[in-house]
Amino acid sequence: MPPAPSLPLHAGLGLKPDHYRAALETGCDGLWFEVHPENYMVDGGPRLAWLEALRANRALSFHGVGASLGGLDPFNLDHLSRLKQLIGRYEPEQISEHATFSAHEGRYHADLLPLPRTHEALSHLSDRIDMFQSSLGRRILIENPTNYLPFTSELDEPDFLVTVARTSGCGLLMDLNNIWISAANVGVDPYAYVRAIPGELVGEIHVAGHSPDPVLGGRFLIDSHDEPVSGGVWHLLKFALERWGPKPVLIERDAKIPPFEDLMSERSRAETLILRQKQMAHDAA
Amino acid sequence: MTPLEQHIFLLSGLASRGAQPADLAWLMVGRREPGQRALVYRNSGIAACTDALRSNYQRLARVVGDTFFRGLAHAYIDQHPPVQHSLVGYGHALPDFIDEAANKHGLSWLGDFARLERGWLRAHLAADRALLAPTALESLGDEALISARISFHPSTTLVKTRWRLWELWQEAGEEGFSEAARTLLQQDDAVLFWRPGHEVSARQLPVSNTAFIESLRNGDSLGTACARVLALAPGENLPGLIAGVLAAGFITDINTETGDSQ
Repeated sequence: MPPAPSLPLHAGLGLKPDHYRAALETGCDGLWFEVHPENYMVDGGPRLAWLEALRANRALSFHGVGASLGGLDPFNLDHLSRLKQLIGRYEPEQISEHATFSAHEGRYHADLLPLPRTHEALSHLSDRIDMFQSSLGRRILIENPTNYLPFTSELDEPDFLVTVARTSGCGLLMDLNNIWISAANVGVDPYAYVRAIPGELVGEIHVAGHSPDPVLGGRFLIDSHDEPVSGGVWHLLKFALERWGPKPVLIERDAKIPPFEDLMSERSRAETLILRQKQMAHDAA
Repeated sequence: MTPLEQHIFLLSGLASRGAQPADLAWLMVGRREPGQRALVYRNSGIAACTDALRSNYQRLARVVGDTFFRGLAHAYIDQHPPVQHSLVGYGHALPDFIDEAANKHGLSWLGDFARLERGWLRAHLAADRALLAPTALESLGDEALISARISFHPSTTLVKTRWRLWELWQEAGEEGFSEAARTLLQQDDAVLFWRPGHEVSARQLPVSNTAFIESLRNGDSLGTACARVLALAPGENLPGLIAGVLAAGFITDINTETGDSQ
């Protein structure tokens, strides 16, 4: 697999249609954007034009939600073909997907459903990522899932993901909010989790907000992306960057979208943490 | 079934209401029933599909209010779950679905209202293509003009309705729209949607104009389309109609080769 271009070692933002103009006009250094390519799988129109205008001056990451890498159905050919067209047109620096499945027997669930962490699933997922990467002609990153239930498993999650990455040649996108939620919901130690992931496999980090389940309350956290990044996740980001070294960090926000400036101020906080690690790496060299 | 196949089968079943949380016990540590927590795997997908429908039918959602829209969306998702791995255009069958349930909700105009929404969305997402300059017909002689065939921009979408909904559709697109009761007329109507640049344009069409556009879109020559208009409206201002079509910004090509069958 040819080495993919990589994202700049800066903080980025998930791009929202409400913010197209502000995103185009900001002069912020190092800012990059991430989109779900599925939202751009259209024949034409303004959203493709906006993305093209933004792409002219900004690094871009495609973070897919529709490939169903862990699924049993064959890859959806329409999805794959449209993804390839978008990659050809926008040439994103990075492409990522999820270590989950999202479709079965022709029905798309519009959700990222977890796989069991078994040797059978490990082998299946690794093979599918290998096929997907071969089809795109690009190395991808896969994102750790959000855990809501304690499924029986043969491996812990870091071991599962690291083995999948080493077997298939993909990298890892570590979503620290997902780890934080998993800690609350199924009782993993988020810091031990981060320590178990080798930094050289990590190509990107996600941070986001979460919320308590509306019925079950704060003991059951939902990966809602509708709040600012929580204090605990910021702390985990600082810890992870110290461990892994400087990495591109994305602020994800998908609901209750605040003004662009609010997201930029969260982004600035992440940028400061990355800069500190870059400085330390520089000093050490 | 292997354990992986069993896992995917059960979790997919839960997501699509074919299985209940208790059915997942087999997959859990200690085979403990997961209880209500498991419903997150159903509710997240339904929420994503509902959001996509709300985004694709924004005016419809405003007109019927949130409670009605949510119920409608959930019923639609049950009957027409997504097949494509992108929700961008999700909900193409919603207008027909609304019509089929008219005896339940009693709003016989609502399916047509959804058709207008769909027409707008289709124009919004259609392929890009360069437009012909409005002056392109000026250099044509009368004979070439009569036999000319017109190619429309891919966004051009004509929606015919059995109710006059144009005013309500426009109002529902404005800030501060209120759900106050209105009287709607059961009357054939047509709205044309197209996207000359990045913004979708919409125009209500009189019957004669509708026939003109339909005829041209069927591949008829300009002369044939004009004859259809005159048959419906003998007093129609044809030069004005042609000029209006040219100025609107949805013509991408004019073919003046002869071969008109009429």
